[in-house]
Amino acid sequence: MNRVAAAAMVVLVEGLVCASGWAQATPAGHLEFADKVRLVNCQPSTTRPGFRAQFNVVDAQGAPLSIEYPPAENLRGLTRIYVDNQELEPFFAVSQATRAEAVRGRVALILVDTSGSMNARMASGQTRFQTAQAALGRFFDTFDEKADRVAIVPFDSHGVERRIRSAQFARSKADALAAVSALPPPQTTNNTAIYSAVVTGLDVLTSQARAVAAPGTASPEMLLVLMTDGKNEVLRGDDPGLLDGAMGLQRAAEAVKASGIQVIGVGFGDPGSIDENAMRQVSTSLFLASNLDQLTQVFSVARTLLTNRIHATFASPFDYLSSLEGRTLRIRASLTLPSGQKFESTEQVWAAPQIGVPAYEGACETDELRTALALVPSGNYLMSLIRPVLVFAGLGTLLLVLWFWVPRLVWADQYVGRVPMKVTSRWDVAGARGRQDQTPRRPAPPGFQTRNVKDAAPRGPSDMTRADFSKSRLQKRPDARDPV
Amino acid sequence: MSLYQTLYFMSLVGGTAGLLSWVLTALVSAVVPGQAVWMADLIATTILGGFIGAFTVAFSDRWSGNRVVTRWVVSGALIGITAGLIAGLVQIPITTRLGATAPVLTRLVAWMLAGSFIGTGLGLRWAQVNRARVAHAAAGGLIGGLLGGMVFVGLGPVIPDLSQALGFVSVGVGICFGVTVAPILLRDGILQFVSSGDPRAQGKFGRTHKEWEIQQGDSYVIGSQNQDFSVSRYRPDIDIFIPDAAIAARHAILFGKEGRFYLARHPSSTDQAALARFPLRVRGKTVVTSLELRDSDDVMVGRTALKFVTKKES
Repeated sequence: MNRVAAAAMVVLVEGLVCASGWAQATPAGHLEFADKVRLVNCQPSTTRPGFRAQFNVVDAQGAPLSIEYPPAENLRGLTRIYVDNQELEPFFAVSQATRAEAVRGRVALILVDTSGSMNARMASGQTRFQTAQAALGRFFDTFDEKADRVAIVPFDSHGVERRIRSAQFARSKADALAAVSALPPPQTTNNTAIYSAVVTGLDVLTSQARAVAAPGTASPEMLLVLMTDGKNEVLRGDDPGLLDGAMGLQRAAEAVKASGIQVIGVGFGDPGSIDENAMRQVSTSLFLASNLDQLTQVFSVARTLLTNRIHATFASPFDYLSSLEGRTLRIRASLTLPSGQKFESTEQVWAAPQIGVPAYEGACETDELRTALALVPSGNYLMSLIRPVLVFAGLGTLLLVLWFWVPRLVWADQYVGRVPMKVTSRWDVAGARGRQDQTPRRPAPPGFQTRNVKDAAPRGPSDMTRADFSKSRLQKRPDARDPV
Repeated sequence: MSLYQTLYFMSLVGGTAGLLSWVLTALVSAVVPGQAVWMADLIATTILGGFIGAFTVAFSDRWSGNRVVTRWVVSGALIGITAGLIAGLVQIPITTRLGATAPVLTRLVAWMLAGSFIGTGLGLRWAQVNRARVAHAAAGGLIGGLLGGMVFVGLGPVIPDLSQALGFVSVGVGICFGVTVAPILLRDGILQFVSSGDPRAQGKFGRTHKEWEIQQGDSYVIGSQNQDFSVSRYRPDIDIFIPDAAIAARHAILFGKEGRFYLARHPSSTDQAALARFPLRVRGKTVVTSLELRDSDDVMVGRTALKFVTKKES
C-alpha cells in the first residue's frame, strides 16, 4: 500500500514540475565570476557608488558555453544583480563578444611547468614540454596588439620568484611566440613549486594590471594560466622558503580566493600523477589534457574565457560611499536569454574594510558615466561633503564639553576659586616671557631650571638647593600698612 | 588627580585620538584611491595606534606633574604605529578565512586585535614598574577594542560617517580606558597626596589630591628629577614625581613584595648629606634603609606629606 502511495506521489510531483515548466528552465550552464566585484566611482554622474562585475557563461566543467548573446542594447535588461537578495538592474552591461570596443585591455600570465617530469615522452614521440610549446600557440591565435599583454614564464623549483617577477609581457603575437620558443628545456634536477608560483604569479599579474590601467580607470581583464604535469614537490636543494605541504596549499588557495582573479589550472600528461585536489584549490577552473589536441583545446578555452566576458556595472543600493562602511554584501547575478534560458551565478562576497574606510577600486568609464547619468538617481552631493564635517564638528564639540565643562560639574571643588590668569614663573628663568611686572627674580637653583637646561649638569644627591629663606623675605613691605 | 579623574581624562584622551585618527584615515583613503581592503585596514590601525600612543604618553606625563618630553611622545607614537601595523597584518589571514562566512565576528576580532596590540604597546611603558602591566594593558585594550568594534558593527549600517567616527572614538576610549582601569581595578594600595610645604608641589597636587595606584610587584621611584634630565627613550625615570625642593632627584623606592609594601631610600641618596637634606619618614620614623608600610601610614617625603592606604593585612 505504501509503495503504491509513494509511486503516486512521484508521478504527481513530476506532473507538477512539467506543468510549471521548471524542468525546461533548468539551466544547462551557469554564470561564473571572472574577477572580484569591484567598487567604482561614478561621479560626477552620480554620488551613488557603483560596483563592476565580470562573468563568463560556462558549462558544468567551467568551459565557455556557446550561446547567442543578446544584442548590446538588450543585455542590460536581461541581466539582474542580487545584492543581499535585493534585485537590481545594472545601469550598464556589455558583452565583449558583441562589442569589441568594450575591451579595456587584457593581461594574462601563463606559467609553464619545466620540472624534470616534463621531459617524459608521449605517444606522439614528443616530450610533454615540446607538446606544451606546440599547444601554447593556440592561445595567441586571436592576439589583439591593442589590448593584449601576455607573459609566458617557466617555473620549477629554482629561481621561482625571481623568474616570475621578471616576467616580460609581450605586446605582439610575434613576441609572445618568441617567448614560447625561448622557454628553457626542463632539467632533471628540477622539482615543482606550484604553490609559490601561483602566489607570486597573482602578485605580478596584479602589479602589471595596475601598471597597464590608466590612472582612475577600470583595471583590465586578468587571467592566470597554470600548466603542470604533477604536484607540488619541493625538496632539498630547491629555493629556500618555497611553499609546501598543507600550509603551503592553504596559503596559495587563500591568495587565489582573495585576489578574485580567474586562475585556469591545466593538468597535462598522466592524470594519475596530477594532484587534482590541490589544483582545484589553487585554480578557479581545472582542465585536464593528455595529448596535443586536448591541450590545444584547453588553451583555446582559456583564451575564450579571457576574451568573452560580460561586464555589468550596477549602482549600490546605498546612497553614499560611507553608507558601505562595515557592510558585507552577498552578490549574485543572473542572465536570461531571449529564448528564456536562464543562467545564474554562485554568490560572491564584497566586504568593506574591517576597520578602515571603503575606497574606490576604479572609476566608471565614459559609457558607464553616460548611462549612469540617465538611469541612476543621485544623492545629495553637497550633503555627502558636509556630513563628515558635521560629524567631526559634533563629536569634537562633545569631546570639548567632556574635557572642559563636565569636570567642573563632577569635581567642582577642584575648580572653585580658580581665576584664569597669566601663569608666571617662580624662578627667573630665561624663557619667563610674558611676565607683566619687571621685578627682578632670583635665579633658579640647580635642577629647577624650566628652560634652557641643555648646558646644566644633571642634579645629583650632593647638589644643594639654594633657596632663600632669609628673614629679609619676611620683612614688612614698605607700602604695607600697620595693622590697626 | 584622583584615580577616577585619571580614568575619565585618559578615556577622553583615547576618544580625542580616535576622532583625529578617523579624520586622517578618511583623508588618506580619499587621497590614495584603489587601495586594497587589507591596506585600508592597515592604514586605519596604524594611524589609530600612532595617535593613541602619542596622546597617551603626552597626557599621562602632563598629569604626572612633570614635563612632557618630546622624545617620549615620538617614541609613544612610533610604538603605537608599530603595534597598529602588527595588528593590521595579523588580521589579514583572519579576514581572508573568516570574512565571508562570519563577517560580524571577523570585524569584532579585527577591532579587538587592534585594541589589544595597541594596548600592549602602551603597556610596555610601565613594564619596568610591573611586568604584569603589559598583560593588563593588552587585556584592557582587547576589551576596549571589543567595545569599539561593537559600536562600529552595531551602528555601521545605520548612520553613515557617524558610525565609523563613533567606532574610532569608542575604540580609542576603550583602549585608553582599558589600559588605565586595569591597574586601578587590580590595585592593592594607594599613595595619596595630602599637602606639601613646597608651593610647587602644593600647587600641582594640592587641589586634586593626586593619587598613585600601587599593586603587588610594582616598583616606583619617587623623586623630583626633571624629565629633561632623563636619558631613557620611552619611559620616565621617575614614576612618582613631586616637585619639592627637599626631595632628592631620586629619593625613594616604593615597592610591593610578597603581599607587603615597603618604602626604601633610593641607593643614590643614602649618604649622610642626603639623609640630612632629604627627609624620608614613615609614621614619624626616619627611613634609613627601608621600612614596611601599613594601612593609613603617614609618609613624609621631603616637605610633602603623603598617605598610604591599603587593604592588605600586614
